[in-house]
Formats: sequence, C-alpha cells, structure tokens
Amino acid sequence: MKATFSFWLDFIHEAFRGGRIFYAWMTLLTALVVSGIYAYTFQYQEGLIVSGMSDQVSWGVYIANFTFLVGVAAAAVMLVIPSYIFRDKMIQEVVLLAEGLAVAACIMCILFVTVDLGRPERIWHMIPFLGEFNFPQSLLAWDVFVLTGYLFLSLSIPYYILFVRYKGGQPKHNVYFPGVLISIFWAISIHTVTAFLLSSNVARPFWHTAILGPRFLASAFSAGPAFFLLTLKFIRSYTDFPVPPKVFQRIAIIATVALQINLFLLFVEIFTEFYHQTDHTASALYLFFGIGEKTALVPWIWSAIAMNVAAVLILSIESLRNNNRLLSIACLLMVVGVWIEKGMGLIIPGFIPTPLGEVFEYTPTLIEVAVSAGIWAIGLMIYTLLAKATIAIELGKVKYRASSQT
Amino acid sequence: MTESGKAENKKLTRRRLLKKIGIAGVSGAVATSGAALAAQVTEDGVDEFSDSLASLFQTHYRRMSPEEVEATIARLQRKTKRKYGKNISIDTTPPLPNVLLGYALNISKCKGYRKCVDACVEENNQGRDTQIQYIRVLEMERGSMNLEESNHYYDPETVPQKGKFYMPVQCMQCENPPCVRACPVKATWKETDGVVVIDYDWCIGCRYCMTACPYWARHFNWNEPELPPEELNPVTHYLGNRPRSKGVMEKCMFCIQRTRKGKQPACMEACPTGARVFGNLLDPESEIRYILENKTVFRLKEDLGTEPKFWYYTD
Amino acid sequence: MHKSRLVKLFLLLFSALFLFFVNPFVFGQESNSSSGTELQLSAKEDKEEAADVNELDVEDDADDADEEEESPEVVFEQVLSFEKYAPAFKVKLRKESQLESYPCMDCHEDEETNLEIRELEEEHDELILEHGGERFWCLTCHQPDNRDYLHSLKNNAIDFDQSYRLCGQCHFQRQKDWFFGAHGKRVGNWLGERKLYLCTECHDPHSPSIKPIKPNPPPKVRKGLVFVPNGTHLKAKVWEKHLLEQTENKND
Repeated sequence: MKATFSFWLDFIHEAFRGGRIFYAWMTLLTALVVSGIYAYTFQYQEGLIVSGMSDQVSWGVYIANFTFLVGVAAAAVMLVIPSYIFRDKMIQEVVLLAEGLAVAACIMCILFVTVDLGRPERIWHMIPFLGEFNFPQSLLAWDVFVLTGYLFLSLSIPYYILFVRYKGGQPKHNVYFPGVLISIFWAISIHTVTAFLLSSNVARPFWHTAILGPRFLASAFSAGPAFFLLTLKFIRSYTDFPVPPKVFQRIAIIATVALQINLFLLFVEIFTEFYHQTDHTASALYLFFGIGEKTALVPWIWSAIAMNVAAVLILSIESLRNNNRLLSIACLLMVVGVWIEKGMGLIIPGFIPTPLGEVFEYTPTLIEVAVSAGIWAIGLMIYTLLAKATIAIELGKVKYRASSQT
Repeated sequence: MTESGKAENKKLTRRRLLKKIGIAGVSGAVATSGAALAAQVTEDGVDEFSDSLASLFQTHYRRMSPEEVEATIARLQRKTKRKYGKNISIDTTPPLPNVLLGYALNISKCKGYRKCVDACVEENNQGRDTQIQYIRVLEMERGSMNLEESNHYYDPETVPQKGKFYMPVQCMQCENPPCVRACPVKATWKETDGVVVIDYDWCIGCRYCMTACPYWARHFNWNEPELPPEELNPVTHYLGNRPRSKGVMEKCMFCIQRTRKGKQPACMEACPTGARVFGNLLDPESEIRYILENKTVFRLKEDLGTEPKFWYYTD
Repeated sequence: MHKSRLVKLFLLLFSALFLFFVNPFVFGQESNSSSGTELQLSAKEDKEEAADVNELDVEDDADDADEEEESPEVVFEQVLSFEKYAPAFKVKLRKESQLESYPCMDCHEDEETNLEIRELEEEHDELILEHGGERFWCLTCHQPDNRDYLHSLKNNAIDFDQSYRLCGQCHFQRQKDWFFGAHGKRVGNWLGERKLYLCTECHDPHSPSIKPIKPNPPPKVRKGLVFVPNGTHLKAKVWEKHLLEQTENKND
C-alpha cells in the first residue's frame, strides 16, 4: 500500500515538473483546453445546432477525429509486437511511451464520442444492467466495449511494469505477457470494430465494402507509428531520455510498409469504384471529383494523396529515410495525409449523397474546431504527463525508498 | 531541499489551490442553477429541479412498471405545462392485437402536392425551425428510378409537372430494421404491430441509427424544437407525437396516437388524391392486402434486405 | 434357381416402388390442384357474367342505398359485377348536401324534354363538358325522363349517390380498384366501418381530370445552414445522347 501511494505521489510529481519549454507547452495546451470547454458550453446549451452537421451529414469532425485516433491507439500494437514478442531491444526502450500514446489516444476517442452525443448526460444508458447495452447487436456498443477494455489494458500493463521498476525489481514475464498477448489482439480488434461500425451500414455504399477493415488497419499502422516517431523526436530533443537513432529507423520501416499497403488498398478501392461506375460510386465521385458544383472535398483528398505519395517515396528510399529531417517531414506528411484521408475523406463522403440522393455539403463550424482542438490538447497533455513520469521512472530518477518515507 | 525544489513545491501548492478554487466554482454554479430550477414550482407543488433529477434517472420505457409509467407521464405533462402553458394527454395505448400495420402509396396518383408533409408536421409536434419533416416527396424524372436524379426542392407553379412523377418517402417501418440493430442503448425497437418506435427519453443522440437507415427516415433534434404553443397538438402518445427535446432522434411512427385507435394517419387523411392506403397486413380482406396481391407493387431499396412495410404501387 | 427367384423378387419390389413414387406424376396430382383453381376461377367469372345478364332495374325509391348517417343499413340485394365481392362500404352522400340544383325535377318537371344533341344556351351554359370528347353530351348520362337520376347504357336509372355505377361502365377497372380500396379516398378510420368518397367527390363529372395546383412549399434546410441548390444532375436520356452523337457525326 505504501509503495502504491508513494508511486502515485512520485508519478504525479514527476509528471508536472519541468523546464520552461514544458511550462510553455502546457500553457499552450491549457489555453486550447479552456477555449474548447468554453466552446462546448455553447454546444451543450444550444444543442448540436451550433455545429455544421445536419440530417444529411450527421457525423462530422468529431467522428472523423475519433476514427483517426482509434487508429493511433491501435498502432501501439505495432510496437508492442516487436518489443514483447520479438524481444527487439531497441523497441523495448520506447514501448512504454507508445502505450502512453495509446492511452492518450483512447481517452481522446472517448471524449470525441461524448461531445458528439446529443445527450451526453445520458451516457450512463450504455452501462449494462443500469442501462440497456445493446451488445452484441450494435456495433457502437461493441466499439464502446473494446475501447474501454483497451484503455484498461493500456493502463494496467505499463502500470504494472513501471510500478515494479519503480520498486527496483524486474517485471515478471508471467504476469505481463498474457496481458500483452491479449492487448495485441485487442488492439487489432478495436480498429476492426471501428471499421465494422462503418462498413456494416448497408445504407452507405461508400463504406459497405469488405476492404474498409484492411484499409483502416493499414492507415492506422502507418499514421500511428509516424505520429509516435514525431513525439519521440521531441522527447529526444527536450528530455534526458536517450532514444537510440536506430529506433527511429525501425519505427520508420514499420510505418513505410504500412503506408505502402495503405496506398495499394486506396488504388484498389479507386479502381473498383471507377472502372464501371454504378449509382453507388456517387460518394467516391463526390470525394474525388465533386458532383456538379459541390466540390468542397476535392482539394482535400488530392492533397492528402499527394502527401501520402510523397511520404511513401521518401520513406521507401533508404538514403532519404535515413536523413533525419526528411524522415520528420515524411512522418508529418503521412500523419496529416492519413488524417485527411481517413477522417474527413472517409466520414463525410459516406453521407454524400444521402440515401435519397441529395448532395448536401458539410463545413465544420468554429465551435466544432475549437472543441476538437481542445480535445486534442487534452490528449497531448495526458501523453506529455504520462511520458514525463514514465521517462523519470525508466531512467531511475525516482525510486521507491521504503525507509525514508515520512 | 534545494532552491528549485522549494520553488517547485510552491508551484505545486499554487496549482493545487487553483484546482480547489475551480472545483468550488463549478459546484457553486451547479448549486445556484439547482436553486434557480427549484424556484419554478408548478401547481401540483412539484418543483422543476426534482422533476429534472427524476428525468435524469428515468429508466427505459420497456422496463417501467405501470406505476413508473404513470409517474413519468405525470412528470412529462408537468414539463409541457411549464414550457408551453398547455395541458396535454400522453397516451400509452399498446399495439392492437392481431394487427401488423402496412402502408401502400399509389405513385400514379401522387401529384406532389406535399399536403401529407405539412399535415404530418401539424399532427406530430415537430420543431418548426429545425425543419424536421418525416415525409420527403421526391420529384422523379420519368424513365428511371435513380434517386440521385430526384429533386427534393421542387417548387413549380403547378404540380404535377410534365415528365415527372412523385414519390413520397418516409419511415418504411422495416421488418428487418437496420436502425434497431444499430442503437447502442436499445432506444428504438419494433413493436408487435410492426411500428418502429423510439423512447425519446432514453435516446442518447449518437445518431448511429440515422447513419444506418437506408431511407433517410430518421431525424435529429439539433436544437430545442421551437413549437408555438398554439400549434401544439395536445393529443399525444408516449412513443408518438409527444413534444420532444433537443438531442434526441425522431421519425414517422405511423401516427400511433391515431392509428392505435383506428384513426387514419395524418398523411393519409390529408392526401386529396387518395394515393395513400393504410391497413392491417394480417387481415386478408383489407385494402392493403388487395393492393399487394393485385397491383404492381415495389419497395424502395428492396435489395438491402430491410423488408419495408411501405409499398409503392401503380394503377 | 435361387438366383432367378431373387431376381424376380427384386424386379417386383422395384416396380412396386417405382409405381408408388411415379404415381403422382402419372396421374397428375399437382396439375389436379391447379386445374382445381382454374375451375374455381371460371366459376367466378360465370357468376359475374350471370350477374350482368340478370341486372335488375333500380327502383325509383333507391333508399336501399348505403347511407352515411340517418337510415339504418339495408342489405343491398341488387348488385353489379364485382360489388358483390367487395368489402362492405358506405359512401358519403352528395345529392342532398352538395348538388346545388338537386332535386332537378323542381325545374325539369315543367320543361319539355328536348332530345336534340346540341350545345346548351339558356341554362347550364356555364358548364363546359370535357368528358368523352365529341362522344358525350348531357343526356348520355342524365336520365331524359327523370332528371333526378342518371341512367346506364341499358337505360336503367342510377341514383346520384350511386354514381359509381355509371362511371364504372367505362371505367370498370377503376371501379374494381375503388371497390377494393386501391383507388379513391377512404375517410374516417382505417379500421372498422369503411367510408368512401364517391367518384364525383374528387372528379367533376363534366371535367373529371384533376387540375394541377400549386404545391406546398419545399423543405427547408436545418436552421443555421444555407441551402445551396443542387443544380440539375439529370443524366441525359439514352436517346438524347444518341441523337447528340448523330448530330455531331453529321457536323463532322
């Protein structure tokens, strides 16, 4: 008990202390969070009418961000597998940070879904026995179930490892390895379930394809490690944590292969849609070429494709990949490209045209953007705090001293 | 402790203090709003605060005992009285026995007047500004059934226009409804008379059902419905046209406040051409059965396997 | 010896089984049932034809008509065609409440019956007859000897409140639909007593086509959003594309 108490005390202590840059970063994030909360008060008061959504396009940036972030959360598995299964020493150094990112992404997902609800105070209706949980029929119920489970797994396994290390011991393989195995399958399942959430809708021909699941996984495993890699660069620059250069290369290779597969699947999708156009091609037509004068998403998707192609070219050529600056640029391009392609470029066209053939466009409002930025800031805050404390424990800066506790 | 250690300790306590102030502020705000709500007491002495608390913990309609239903109805009547100044009746008539409701629409006869659309809005207490309309009439070009070529916003001098035909679309009350499967909290379900209903007080507003519906039949209250009190229809059903609030779904429910009492749905009553036929699919002598067995009928998007109970037929 | 006996036994068994199973096909059980229904159908048609032949005159005191309100329901014996098979119904009466000039004999008792086919000039001249083209005139439908009635092709009198019998002579398909609920307007309830509008409630018999009217306003978009018209994305018809190609080829 004493050890637990002191662990949490030290954890929080380490999480919140830092230098000037840390405080500047946290201040920026806090500002974003505050503006997000302020914007949300309007939404809670007035209802979702303050957003740009409509009966025609009923899901917008919130669910777009949710879809992207579920991928980032699942992508931790791409580091968990080499670390715990293949005992890759390089990856083992950073895998706890990756799981910290997974936790932050999971929390962001839950927040995005909550702000998207028309009646967030009724969220308790989803609790089994207290409420009515439509499991296993509803894919959304499945999503809630797997995300909650994944959050629990991503919190508990690193907690065990850090706690043992904090006490100066060695984490027992028998204890954490079953959890690791479960979390590998669970990570893949969270993103597959999210893909099914969309692809199970026969009403939306843009999503009702079998390839949506593989596309989701491929894009997740490219953008997730890329995002993680970018954060590792920050960690290497601004903390004492020694990230070996080879780690970057390992993660970059994972992201490269995933991106290559992602682009191939995109090509397959485009071919299948456009070789012989059917009425169901309308959504893809709207996305890539616009319908009539409604072309809002066309520049977005083509720039996303350009970014992804540029990224895959840089990453596939070894000499370019080894260049640090180019690597960072490629990762940034990839993250933004996949965010567009999977977020706005997947959710919005699913609703256009409506099942009755109406082409009605969607533009996010300032309130939606502010709330989304606020949630991103909360996620980044959580990740920063978790990373700081994890690094401190990993470096041995904090240790449990049984004797000297007051 | 070092200098920086002391400084950091101070920062920590400052942060802790700020946190405490924040929490105190939030709870103060909650308390004041609670007090403000408590001030609005209705005639029967039940204050708004305890009513809103009760509604927060209201259980699912299908799990309510008869006493809970009564209490809920009374509370909803009070809420309406506070908001609109009107007394309404909230019915809980169960489905008629041996009845499976079905609807047929003669697209040779529909001329696109949209009288059904407006009659439905008058009957069912939708928000006037959020523009929820359960029925959408599509002006289709003759020669194809392509919904993407349909015009929803037609407004010519007269209808019917040459070369066009008109197809109203509303909830199909599917036998195999994708929306019922989609709802994570079972707020929507199919009753034994075949109507797919929503418990407006259970819906969390995630809009997944709206994503799942192939007929664009489900609608969301993006804000608090603006309904002038004089236009409020006081004869309501719990699962039907009782006034809704923001953040919940709604849709055509075959006017169960009327049809469970044998009355025609508002759209059928309003249609001047007699294009709409409503009846009991289980009665072999019914008009709708005659149509389904003798006329050329089709259903929209039949290939999706939803088994709609809304047919279209031609003369 | 044993073998041949066995063979004989086997053949016997086999043929017995064969006959047992083939029997239905040979004697056409399935076709029996279908011909059964055919027989039924033709019986129905015979009855219908018989009814037509046995059509009785409708008496002057046609208060055996189904009424909406006052009189108690009287079982209607003399029926036409499909009426016998239609689900029971009542009609909304019109002649007392809605026909302004009724009873017509108030004027026509004193008038001479002029059977000459002509355009009316003195009375009823505001009526434009847009029914039947050049083939109809007033007395095609109106009973010359008693203007309080219409008449059938066989000159049987038809009450104004049973005008469907007149219309149904030509519009028999519509009439059948109307009897069974696929056409026309039912009022009141969907369950229970079936109350219908007469043909003439919607169709002015002198100009029966439904006139176009201004539609109710189009749907609005959600408050706070702007409506952007869809523009026309009607695909060109197949023949339009073809004709376009042809003219382009000509121009080349």
